[in-house]
Amino acid sequence: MANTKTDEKLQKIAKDLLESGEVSLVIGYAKGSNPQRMRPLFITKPEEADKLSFNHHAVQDLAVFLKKPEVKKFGKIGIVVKGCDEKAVNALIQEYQLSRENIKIIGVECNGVIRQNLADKGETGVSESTVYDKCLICEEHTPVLYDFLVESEEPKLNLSGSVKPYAKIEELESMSADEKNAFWAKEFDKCIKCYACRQACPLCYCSRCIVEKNMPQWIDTNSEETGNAQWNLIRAYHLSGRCIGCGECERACPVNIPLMLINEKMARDINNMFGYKSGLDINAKPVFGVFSESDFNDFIK
Amino acid sequence: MENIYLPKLAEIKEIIQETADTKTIRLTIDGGSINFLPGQFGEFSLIGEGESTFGFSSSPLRKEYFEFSFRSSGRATTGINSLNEGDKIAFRGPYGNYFDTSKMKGKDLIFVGGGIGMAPVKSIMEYCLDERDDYGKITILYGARSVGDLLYKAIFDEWKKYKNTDVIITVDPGGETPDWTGKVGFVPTILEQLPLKGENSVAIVCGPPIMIKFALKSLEEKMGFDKSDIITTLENRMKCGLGKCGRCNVGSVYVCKDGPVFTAKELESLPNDF
Amino acid sequence: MEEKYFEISAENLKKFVDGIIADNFEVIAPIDKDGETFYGKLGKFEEANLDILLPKMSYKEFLLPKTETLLEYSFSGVDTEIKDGLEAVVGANEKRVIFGGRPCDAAAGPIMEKVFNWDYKDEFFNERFKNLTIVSIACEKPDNYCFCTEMQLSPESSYGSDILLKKAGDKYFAIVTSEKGLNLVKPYISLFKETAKDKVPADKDWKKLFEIERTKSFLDKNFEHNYFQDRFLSCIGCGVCTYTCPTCHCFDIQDEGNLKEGRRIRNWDSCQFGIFTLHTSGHNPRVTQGDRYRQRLMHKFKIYSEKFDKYLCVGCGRCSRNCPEDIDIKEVAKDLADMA
Repeated sequence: MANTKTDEKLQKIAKDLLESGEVSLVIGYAKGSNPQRMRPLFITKPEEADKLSFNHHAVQDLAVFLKKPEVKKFGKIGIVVKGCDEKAVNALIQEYQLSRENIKIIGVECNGVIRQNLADKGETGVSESTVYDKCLICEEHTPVLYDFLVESEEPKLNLSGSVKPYAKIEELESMSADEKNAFWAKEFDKCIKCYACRQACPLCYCSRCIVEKNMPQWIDTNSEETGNAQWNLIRAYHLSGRCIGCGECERACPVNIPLMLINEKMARDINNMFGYKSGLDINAKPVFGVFSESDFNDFIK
Repeated sequence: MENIYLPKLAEIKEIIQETADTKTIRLTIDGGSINFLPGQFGEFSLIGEGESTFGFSSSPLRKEYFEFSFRSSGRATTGINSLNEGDKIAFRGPYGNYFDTSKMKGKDLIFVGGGIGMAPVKSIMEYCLDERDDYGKITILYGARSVGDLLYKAIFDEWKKYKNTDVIITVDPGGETPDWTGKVGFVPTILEQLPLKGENSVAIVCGPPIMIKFALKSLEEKMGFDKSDIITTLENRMKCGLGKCGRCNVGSVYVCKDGPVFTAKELESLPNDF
Repeated sequence: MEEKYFEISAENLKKFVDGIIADNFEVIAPIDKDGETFYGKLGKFEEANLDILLPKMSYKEFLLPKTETLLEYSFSGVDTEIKDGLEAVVGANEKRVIFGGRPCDAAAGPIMEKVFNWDYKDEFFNERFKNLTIVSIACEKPDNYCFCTEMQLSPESSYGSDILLKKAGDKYFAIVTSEKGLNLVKPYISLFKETAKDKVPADKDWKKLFEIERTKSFLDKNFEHNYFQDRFLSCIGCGVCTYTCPTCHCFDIQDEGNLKEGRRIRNWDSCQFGIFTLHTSGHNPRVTQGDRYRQRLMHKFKIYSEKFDKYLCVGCGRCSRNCPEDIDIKEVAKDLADMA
C-alpha cells in the first residue's frame, strides 16, 4: 500500500519530533498482521518514522499505553490519536496521570474506523453499517486538543439515519427491572474474568485494582453469577463520569459482552444529570471529584 | 479416586512466639508427625483464608510433631496467625524435593541461615544433628537484622550441646542490644571469617536473596566451595504445590516439583526469573 | 484400537447428529451468535456453523471450567467439615460430545493431559476428559494465522479426536480412532458405510514456514535478549491470548465464603497478569510485560516440550486473531526461529 498524504505528514511530524529530541518515543500505528489490520508501533529513532501509517483500520486506542511503566519511563512522548483516543489523553491529564508538557499530541482527523471483526472478514468500505457505533455519534472527528493535526483524506461519514447507534439502550430503558436483569444476567454469564476490559481501558490505571485486594476480597474471583456481576458493575461505576467511549473494552472482550451499552448509558445519564461530558476539557474538574450546590441529590442537603 | 487438592486437618499442638512478628507452629496428624524429608514444603491454610506455602522446619526423625515457622504478612498468614493451640489447620503435602543427605554423609557441614530463612535450614540441620555420627564437623551460622528478629533463641543452647558443633549467632551492625554476647556483622562477612574450607564439605544456605547472593559468593570465591556442594532452597510464589497451576515455572523447572531444593550449580542454569 | 474408516453422506451426518441429540447427548458445536461464532449447546444440526475456521474461544472450559469447586467447607463450633468437590464431577457429563471442532482444538486434550497427570493425577481434568467424545472436522483452508503444521500437527490430524471427519464433495470420510468414537457411531451404524484406509483421501502436503525447534533453540539461549522487551511494548497484559488458548491451563486457587461456610475454587489465571508472580514481600520477578510475555513463550515452546515431549501450543492462532493490539504469535515464533 503506497504512502498516502496522511502517512507522509504523520511520518514527517514524528521524524522531526524525534530528531529534535522533543520526545524520546513516538507511539503510532503501522501495518498489521493482515491488510485489514493496523497495530501499535513504538519508535525511538527518526529513521523508523517511515513505518508510521494511519487509515480506517486503526482501531486501537493508543492512549492505553500511557499507563504502562515501561512506556512512562521514556519521559516525553509523542502519540498519534484519533478524536476519541485524544479524549482519553485529556482525561489522564485531568486526573494528574499525565503532564501536558510531557506529551506531544499528534491528532489525526478520523471519519470512522471499520469494526475489526468485519475487517478481518475482508471489509474495506467505511459506511454507517461497517463502522463502530461510537463513530456514528462522534463529535470529535477532529480531536479537541492537539499539538499537530493531520487532516484526513477520507470523506465524511454519510449518516442516513437508517442505522441507530446503541439502539439497544433505548430498548433496555423501556424494559422492566426484571427484564433488564435477565438481559444482563445472560450477558454477564459469558464473562470469563479475563479483565481484558480493564487492561484495554486507558483510564483503568490503578496500580492495585480492587479485584486484586483480598483483605477483604471485595469482588468475588469466581467466574459465575456473583463474581461476574460484581466485576462488571464495579468497573462500570469506577468509570462513570470518566469513560470517554473509545470502546476498547468491548473490542477486547473475548466473549463479546456489549460493554459499551453500559458505558454509553452511564455517560448519557451523567450528561443529563450534571451537564458533564468526559475528556473534553483538561481544566475541567472530574464530575465525581467536586460537589456543586446545584447538584440534585436531596439526601446530601 | 483421589482429589489431590483435598487437605487433611492437622491439630495445633504448640505455638511459639519467636519474634514480634513470627511464630512457629507445631502440628500433629493422628497424634504424631507425618512422613516428610527436610527441604519439602506443605500448603497450609485456615480454611476460608487461602493457602500459603511453608517449608517444614523440624527434623522428620522427631516424631511427636511437625512444624513450620512463618511471618504474618498477607491474608492467608494473618488467618493462620489468629489460630490457637488446639485449633485445626488444613494441610496438603509434603511436596517438592528434599536435601540429599546421601551426598552429605561423612562430610563437614556448614548451615547458613538468615532471618526467617533459617526455618528450612533448621529442618535439615536438626535432621543431621539427630544422626550426628554420620557427619563430620558441623558449623551453624545464623544471623538476623537484630536480636529481636532472631528466631529459635530458646534452642540455640541445645544446638551447642552436640559434639564437634560450632554455633555462631550474629546480628547486623546496629542490631545488637547492650547485653548481646554473640557476633555483630552481616552473615556473609562473618561467614568469611570462619576457618572453613570447601574440601569435603557441603554448605546449606537459606535467607533473604541479598544474603544468599553474597554468601554464595564468599563460599565459592573465598572459601573454595564447589557450586554443586552449596545447596539452597528457593522461595517462590506457589499455589497448587504439585506442578499443575504453572505459577512457579522458572526456565526449565517447576520450583514445586524440581525444587525447592537446588544446588548453586543448578540455580546458575536458571534464568533470572525468580 | 486400530483405526476404522467409514463414509457418510452429508445428509446422513445430519441424521446422525440430530439422532444423538434426541438420544440425550449434549452436543457442543460452533454456533453463530450476534455475528460471531462460539462453542455452544446444539439444539439441532442446522444450528451448527461448520464452515467457519474456528470459534472465537476454545472448548477448554469443558475440560477445565473457568471456575471449579475443589472442595466445600462448613464450620460448626470448633469443627470444620470438608466436602470433596470431586464427587460432583465423577460420572457427570458422560454424554457430552464436541462436534465440529478442528484438529487443533482436539489436540489440546491429550497435550494438557500430560501435565494434569504429572506424578499427581488431577481427577477433575481426567474425569471430564474421559467423558468427552470429540468429533472433529479436518480443515480445508487454514488462514494466515494458523500454524498447526509448524506445531508438528496438521489441519488433517486425528490426534486427540475420537472421530475425524474429512469432507469430500457432498460426503465425509470418518476416521474412528477410539472405542469411545465407535460407541457413539454404533447405534447409527446404518448411516455409515465402512470403507478401507486407501479410499480415504491422502493428507495434503502442508508446508511449514519455520521450524519450531529453532524457536525453542533461540529461547534456550537468549533469555536476556532485548527482543522480549521491545516487541512486547504493545502488549497490554489483557490475558485474552491465555484465556482463548486451548492449551493454556494456569489456574489460581481461592477460598470464598463467610464465617459459616464456603468453598475452595480454582479459576483460570494468566501469566500475563502483573500479580501472577508477585510475592507477599513485594518482590516480583516478572516486572515488565516483556518479562511476562517471554514467560508465555518459554512455557509453551520450551519447558513443556522438555518435560512432556510436546509443545504446549496447537497452532490454532486464536491468540493472534484475538489480540487487541495485533500481536501475532506465529510472527513472533518465526522471528525467534530466524534469530536462532
